[in-house]
Amino acid sequence: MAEIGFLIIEIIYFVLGLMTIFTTIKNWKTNKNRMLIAVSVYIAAVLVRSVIDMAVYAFSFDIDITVVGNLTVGMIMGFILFTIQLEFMFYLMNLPKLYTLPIIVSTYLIMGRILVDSSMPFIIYAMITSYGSAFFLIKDGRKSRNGVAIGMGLFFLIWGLGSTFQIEVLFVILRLVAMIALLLGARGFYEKYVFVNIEEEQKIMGTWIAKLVVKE
Amino acid sequence: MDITQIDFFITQLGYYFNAILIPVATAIIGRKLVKEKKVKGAYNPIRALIFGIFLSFSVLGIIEFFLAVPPFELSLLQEWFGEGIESFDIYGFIIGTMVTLGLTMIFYANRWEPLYYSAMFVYVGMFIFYLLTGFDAWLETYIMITGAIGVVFLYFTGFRVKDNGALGLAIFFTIAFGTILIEDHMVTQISILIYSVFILIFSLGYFKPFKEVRA
Repeated sequence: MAEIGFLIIEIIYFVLGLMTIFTTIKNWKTNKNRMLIAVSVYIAAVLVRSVIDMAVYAFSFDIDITVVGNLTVGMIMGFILFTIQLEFMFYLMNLPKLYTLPIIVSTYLIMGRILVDSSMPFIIYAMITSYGSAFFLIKDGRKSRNGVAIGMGLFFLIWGLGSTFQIEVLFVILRLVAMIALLLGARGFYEKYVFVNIEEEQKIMGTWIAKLVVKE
Repeated sequence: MDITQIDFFITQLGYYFNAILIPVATAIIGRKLVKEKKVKGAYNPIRALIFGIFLSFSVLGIIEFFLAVPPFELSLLQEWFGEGIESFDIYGFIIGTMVTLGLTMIFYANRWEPLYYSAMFVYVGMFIFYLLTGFDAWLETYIMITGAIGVVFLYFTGFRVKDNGALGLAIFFTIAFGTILIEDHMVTQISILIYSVFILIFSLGYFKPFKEVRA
């Protein structure tokens, strides 16, 4: 029963992911911002994982198949995703000197996982990647009033919370919330309703006070 | 003077050369580095990397001197020093650092920006991995492969961008690696004398095969 619930959430998550990709590509066609393409590529990678998860819930696959040592298929997919996420971050931060770092770190962590039966390095890596990215994106997004950056930051933050707890129900639900936050960012929700345009507000306020004064 | 005495003499001379000439050469390069920083306001990364390589080599030479020359036999240091490049003891660590810096220098000289820190990431990662798991089986392979790539690309870079520094280091690495690979004791000792003198010439700035081309 729980599997069906997870499957439904996963399908909704997948559809929302597709909507996000279409929105970002649509926006990219108008403003040619390279960040939007990077977001699309990242979400596409996330959705590949989602397809596998859907298959897991629908056909009860076991992705915790051990490849070698203590390394499982699920963990390899996690490492690939975090590598892409970190690459995406360094691309956004314009740090080409660090482009090879995510691949090298992931390789060592994979090797470590083969030798040592501990998930701790993976969890720490996931936390650093998610919270670090979230911090940078939300901070930068607020400064530049960029809704996509805020959305992406919230996505990493909420996703990171889910990964940290390692409880499946929480992870699946938080992932969905993360995708909603990103979709809202891509659709301009934060620019419209969260960032207050002080100048515009003062203008409205000025007119309102002026009307009151005239009435009196 | 028989062959044993000659061998002993050359070996001892090699240790003295390593412990005196290489640190002197390092100091000269360090002085140039600081001087250049004062003029330009920033360190020249290529020169800084050359300094790093020479500094590593100086440390190696000085430790080897204290271990080999009779009055300073230190058993504990001998244990930590190790004998080869198979594990992360002092010798393996310093040689690994040198080849890593050599490769980094190639990336800088060719301006391959995404690769600038790659060799360092790999090496530091390998060392942390060793500290956490005790696994260092890939160090020897890393040094061999990186060293070989380093020497080939240093020659390539030296001739391509007509860089005296890269070519000088290529010659130095060729002789230095030769001493690791060649089993013959006498040849190794003579090689040590050659590269020690070469390093001094290089650091004093007399090694300029591309002088005319640059002018």
